[in-house]
Amino acid sequence: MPSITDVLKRHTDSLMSIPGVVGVGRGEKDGAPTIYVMVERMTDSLRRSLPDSIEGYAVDVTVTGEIKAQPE
Amino acid sequence: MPRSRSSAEVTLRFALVLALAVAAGCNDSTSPSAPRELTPSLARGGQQGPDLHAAMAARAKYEARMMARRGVEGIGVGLAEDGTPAVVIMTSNGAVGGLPPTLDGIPVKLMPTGPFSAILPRKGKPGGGGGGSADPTATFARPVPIGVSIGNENECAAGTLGARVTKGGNVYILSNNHVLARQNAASLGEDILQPGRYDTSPQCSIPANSSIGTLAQFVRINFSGNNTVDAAIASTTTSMVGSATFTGGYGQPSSTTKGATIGMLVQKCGRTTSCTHGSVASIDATVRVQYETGVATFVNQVVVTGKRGAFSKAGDSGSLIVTDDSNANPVALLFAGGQTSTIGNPIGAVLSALGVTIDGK
Repeated sequence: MPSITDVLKRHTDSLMSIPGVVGVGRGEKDGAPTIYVMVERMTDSLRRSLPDSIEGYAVDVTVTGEIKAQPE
Repeated sequence: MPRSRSSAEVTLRFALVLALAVAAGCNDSTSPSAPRELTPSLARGGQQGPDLHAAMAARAKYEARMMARRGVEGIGVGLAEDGTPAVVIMTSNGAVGGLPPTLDGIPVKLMPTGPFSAILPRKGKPGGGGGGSADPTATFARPVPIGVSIGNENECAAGTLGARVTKGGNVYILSNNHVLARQNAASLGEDILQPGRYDTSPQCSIPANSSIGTLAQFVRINFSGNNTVDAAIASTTTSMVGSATFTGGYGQPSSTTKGATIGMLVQKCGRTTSCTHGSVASIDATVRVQYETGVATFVNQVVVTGKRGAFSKAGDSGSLIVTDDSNANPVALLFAGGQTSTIGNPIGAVLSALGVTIDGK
């Protein structure tokens, strides 16, 4: 199995290009590395376009809202 | 403020919607209920679908010319009504005239989207429920603690004084570019005020003696490429700025940094939500961040989620994120966030970009 770092490198650009995806990183669930995907909000189109796993790593989707710089 | 267009992003998004639609379509027809595995070949997609490449080439070729036209807000690749690939031109209203019906034989589809705006939240006073007994938006006696409201003299805004740092025997305030340097717009030497003008009374005024330093250095935010840090420093003195948080915070951070790991427990003290606790949810993250002046992409970022409620809110930008133990090792520099997540630059990258070290224990 390829390393999570290599898999992220290969797929970050395409994941980031899916409308509604605001971030992609390395996550962990139950001790196993995951692809951590941040989305503005969950939509049917995202459910369809996000895979359940990528090259053997589970895709873990979190709804974060839009990511903004945080000055007041 | 210039309006955000982020055409590259829009362009990319549209190209991929189609590529992924094709990929998903292929998948569904073969095994509709099987878990979907995105493979490199599927991610590329398009081979069996309509010829996207001609549309993408036309989009690329005419992007600059189309974007220069008044009323054009974006350009991308999408599908025409009949399902064939088209160049999509997003317009501020439906009445943009003089656009060609085709570009190199590819149909042009107009899509009135209105202008894309990038407005930062301007929320009320703190009340985030964080710990810490002081009000970080208040005017503090000098030397001021870290974790409190600061801002550039030339804008009515407020962010957070992250830490005191040192370089060559001099001391500096560490915070974000967008707190100290007005998102690349500032000149070196501009005054840094405590509190930031958003927190003064009357609001936006500049009370006498509110300067605690002057802008010394900042890392430019690149709105058309990848970034790692949103960081800046301001010259100050030990009589103006202390090296520890206000009462109720973690005190003085360690001068030894720690790389973020998933699950690591962290804390921060900041202007809006005061002192909060959370854990690292993701590392090596690529994140698209909305600024007043545009969208910027950051790589190798640290994502934190709060233990109880939000780890940060607007105004906490610039806060130092440290380990949630008595060492308080610096981990990241907070600069952005969504409803449930906070994004920080890895502190090692911040310190090396500016050539400074944390003035800690």
